[in-house]
Amino acid sequence: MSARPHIFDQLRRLWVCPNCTHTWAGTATAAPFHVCAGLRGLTAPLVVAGTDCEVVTHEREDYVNKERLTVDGDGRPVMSVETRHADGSNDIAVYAPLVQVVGEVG
Amino acid sequence: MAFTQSKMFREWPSQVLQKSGTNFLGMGTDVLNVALYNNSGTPDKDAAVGSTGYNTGAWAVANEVTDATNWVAGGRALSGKTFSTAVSGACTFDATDLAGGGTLSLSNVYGCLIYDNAITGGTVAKQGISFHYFGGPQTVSAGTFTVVWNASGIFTMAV
Repeated sequence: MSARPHIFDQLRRLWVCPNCTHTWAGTATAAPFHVCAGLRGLTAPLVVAGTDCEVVTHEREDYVNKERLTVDGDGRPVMSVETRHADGSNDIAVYAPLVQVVGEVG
Repeated sequence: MAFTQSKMFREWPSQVLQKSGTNFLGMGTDVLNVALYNNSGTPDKDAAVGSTGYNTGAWAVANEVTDATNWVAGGRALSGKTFSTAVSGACTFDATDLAGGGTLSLSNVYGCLIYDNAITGGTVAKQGISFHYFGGPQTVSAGTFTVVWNASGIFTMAV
């Protein structure tokens, strides 16, 4: 009787970043994230090696006001990072602002 | 009107201080959900408590953005909740980034409501804690939708 690979071994894959040299090998039910040097320090998803796609960021479209936002290494407010696949599908990761409870009464 | 900012409901700290009769057991114990919304409602940090719960006021299900399988009505539960007082003068709440359960399609997602799914009594069930504006419409087609919380947390309270 031959040994069969464990299911998690079967799912182990190489993940890469299209914008920097970061790689990661392992099992994941969702795309792992990393701090991307190619996207000016933003937290961005990896993609399975060989995937025909691009990973791009989107600057915030509305005014910032006093929102505590995610900014890139150049100080630009970023609202999301998108993985655009060649088949027309896409993945989105939105950067939710920090809620700040501050101020004085009166 | 529409999403313009990210805020905590002023009624939430009041709830935390009182809690009586609502079944609130603390944010660490209660299940906290994240529901996604379009831009039809007008989030208001000063709303009366009765209009801060899930499926009340601006947070009516008619304004909610859902997927039949991977981001269903009512939203997804936060995990990995942490409470930190590591920074002088501040108390911070954070959790694990929240990803949909699989491939989905959503459009015109402008923000989210975080609410306490365990609150069943008092003035309003499923009372809202905070709302977060994503900065514009977000659309995903046959892909994954992930909410990445700010590096400094979900909310921080200065004391």
